[in-house]
Amino acid sequence: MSNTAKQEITVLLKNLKEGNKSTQDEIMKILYQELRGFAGNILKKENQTITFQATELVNEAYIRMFDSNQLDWTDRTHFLSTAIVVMRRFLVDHARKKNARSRIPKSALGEFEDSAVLTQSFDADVVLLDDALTDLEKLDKRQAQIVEYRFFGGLTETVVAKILDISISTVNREWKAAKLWLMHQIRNN
Amino acid sequence: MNSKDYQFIKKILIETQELEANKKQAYVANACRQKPDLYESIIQMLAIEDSPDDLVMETAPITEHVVTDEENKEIKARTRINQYTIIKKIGTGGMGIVYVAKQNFPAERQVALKLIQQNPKQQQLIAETQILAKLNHPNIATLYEIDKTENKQLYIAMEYIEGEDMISWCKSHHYSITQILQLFQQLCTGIGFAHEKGIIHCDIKPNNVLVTSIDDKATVKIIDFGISQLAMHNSDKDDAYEISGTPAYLAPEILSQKEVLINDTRRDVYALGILLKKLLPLQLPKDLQAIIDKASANKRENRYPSPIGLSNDIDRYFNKQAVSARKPTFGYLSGLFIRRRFMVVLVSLGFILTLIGAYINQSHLTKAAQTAQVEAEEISAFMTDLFNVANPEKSKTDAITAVDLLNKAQIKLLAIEQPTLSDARFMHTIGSIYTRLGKLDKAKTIIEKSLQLKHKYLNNSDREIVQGLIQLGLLDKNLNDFASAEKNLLLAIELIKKQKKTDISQLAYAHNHLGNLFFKTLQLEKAIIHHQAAIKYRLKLDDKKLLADSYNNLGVIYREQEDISETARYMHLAIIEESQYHFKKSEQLMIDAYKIFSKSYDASHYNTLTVATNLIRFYDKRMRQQEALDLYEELVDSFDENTHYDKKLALMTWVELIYAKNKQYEKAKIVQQEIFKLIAQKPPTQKHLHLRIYTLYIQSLILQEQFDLASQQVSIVLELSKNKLAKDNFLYLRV
Repeated sequence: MSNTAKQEITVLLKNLKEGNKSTQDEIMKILYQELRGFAGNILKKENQTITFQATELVNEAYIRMFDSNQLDWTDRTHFLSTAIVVMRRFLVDHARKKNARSRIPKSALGEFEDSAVLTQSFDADVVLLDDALTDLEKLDKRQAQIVEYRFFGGLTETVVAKILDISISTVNREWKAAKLWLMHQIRNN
Repeated sequence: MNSKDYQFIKKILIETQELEANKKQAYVANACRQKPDLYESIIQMLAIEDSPDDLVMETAPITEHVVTDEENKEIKARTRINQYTIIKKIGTGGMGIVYVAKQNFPAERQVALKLIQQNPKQQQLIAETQILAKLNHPNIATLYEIDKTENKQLYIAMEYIEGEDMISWCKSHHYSITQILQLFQQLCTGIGFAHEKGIIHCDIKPNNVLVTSIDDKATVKIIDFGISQLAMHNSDKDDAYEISGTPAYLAPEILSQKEVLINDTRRDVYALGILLKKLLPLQLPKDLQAIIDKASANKRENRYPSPIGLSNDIDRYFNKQAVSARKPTFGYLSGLFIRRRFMVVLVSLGFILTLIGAYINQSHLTKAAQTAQVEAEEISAFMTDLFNVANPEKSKTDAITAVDLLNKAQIKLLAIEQPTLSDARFMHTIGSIYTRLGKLDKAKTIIEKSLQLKHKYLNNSDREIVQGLIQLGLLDKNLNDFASAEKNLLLAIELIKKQKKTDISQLAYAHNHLGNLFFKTLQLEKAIIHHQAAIKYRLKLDDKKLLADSYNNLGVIYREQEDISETARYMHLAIIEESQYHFKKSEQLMIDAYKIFSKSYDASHYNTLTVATNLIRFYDKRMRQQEALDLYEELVDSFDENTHYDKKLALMTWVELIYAKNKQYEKAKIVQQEIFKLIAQKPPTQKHLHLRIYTLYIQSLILQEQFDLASQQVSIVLELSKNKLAKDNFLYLRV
């Protein structure tokens, strides 16, 4: 995370706390750029098949971005929920690229493109899931948020409950129901 | 799907969670009688339950780098590459595939041969890497050669080490901390040696630190020295921002300062610190923890300058000398937990610190600072202990809340067989926190216990005992046990009066709460007596806020008695006291804020001016005009007329009035003329400011006893606005 980005984010987080909606988008923009650069670096350098949970990137970004003492719990929560949204975009974008790539003849690919970052989720099609989740957001915002935190953010139910200020059992109930609905949506598309 | 249908489906999905599998279908059929069209979908959804599809989402998405054919091309055994014959592939690392190969010439030996992908800058690379070949150290794998084949295949031949990476080695050999540290010191020596030759490794991580047995002695062999730097040049794109290394071991400054790559020794020290952390168990002696902390400090200047310094500190640790890294703070121990599991730990940690803070506050009231300090340390040791029990990494459960911790503390405290006074005090602190959390029953139990213990150690009328009694009284009151509350509070008052040196603030506190208690039980006459007593004592004290509270409480009682004039009297007194509350503190805060703002923005920044204006008004209200004027003069040149026009006008208007009050009429006049010159060119953007300029001007004219001019201005003001505010101001001026 570059220093400017770091400073920007700290300032933006403060704004966010004061309830400024447009700052959220700005934070996302910065995070997204940083995350892309960051993931690219890891992957390019290793040149081997490495798999890692996308959420590790969020954590890594987090640890590098903040002095552990500087931000309070609310800041952290803000950051985390924002980072997860970013993570989701990141994963979905790459999955889309991958799908697009499979339709393009290899000869038409640019020199570097085929060694780019690709995203996979075992069995689940991230793109379809993203679409279904977007539908869910319109129907039940909180429930969609639970899925986003758990699936794209890899957070435990305990942490999700804490962030959303609801009980763990509610998180679990909603999560179970959401999974069924989402998978049903995906199957029927 | 509409939201209504969705909520219907969701409701059924949740309700069926409780049912046995064979009862679900019937349940859905029954529930769907009004909405038969949804029946089919819901049954399909339920069929997903526990199927592989259901499990798919339980795994977070995986990001995977797919290896291209090019990268994957493995060279078959017995292939010749210059003087080397490939034996087998041993891994994929750094920038290409690594093989064991047999060197035929000049000597016959096994080497690790790394084949690097095509690269336009090969020549330069070869030259640079030759330098590395000069590194000759028992803990560094020797680099024999870097060259290319006729096909321009770049390769590096290195000493072949048959060993395990350091972490696996230590695990498989069941190393003790001491053994790990000794091995680690070998690593430090190797890296330190290279540093002296001006070579930074840049990619220290377990895979690059191998351990092998030489003459039955575990020996560290560092591989890939400086190779990661090659990877950087290896990029086809001419990208100056490329970063080489492995993320977890990369020093923060490497990631943050992309423009200038700082490849100094501290970068390797950071990676060593992280590696050491991974080698050692989580629970470490403080000194050792301090060493890791220092090595892996986020700020590079806080780290050891070299691996040798790190190794020396480990020596000191072995010799039980004070290590250079150790900082004697409690916070530092906890810092690590935060970094590891910030989500879970943060709350608990903050809580502990609050607890200790509260404790120190409590005992500082009664004790010499030093004794309090010693006790606080005992407490922090206790809490740390407790925290370790609650450490999520140890207990493997994810959640530990502040309340959990508090409960644990309570149980642990109550189980102590022979509790000391310290323990009793700590119980009191925990009781206070339970009180604040609204867990009154728990609070009462532990405070009673604390009080019981304190009776053993302290004089009966001791301040702490009284404090416990009052707190107990308050708890009783909130638990609606009014009789017991009255008894405890009265006893407290009685005891205070027996004190050698009566503690007035406590006395007032007790009376005040007794007053509140009687008010709650509607014994208003008694309530008045006690509040008046509280006021009597509080008048002797310096705390305006509490005095204001007492006046207010008394006012409330009179209001209940419908005695309007007495109500008004005390409410008014309350307001007066309240308004005097904490002036010194607010002044200091404003001054601090002003200093910080003018430093971090500049003198003409909006925020700076706002604080300055407030400060000037503050001085003015306290009749400290000279200070106000000094500040103004300090500021006057820094106004930027374009951006802070209104602010400037507002401030000037105030200053004009202050000059007038200070009887510096000439100066007031100058400022006033300046203002009028400005608003003639451009009126202030805010209308009310325009009015205020006039009203303040009038005030200043009155002060200067220029009544004619003043009344002229008054009519201007009235004309300027039909605004009620202006009229009010006008009326006020008339008076």
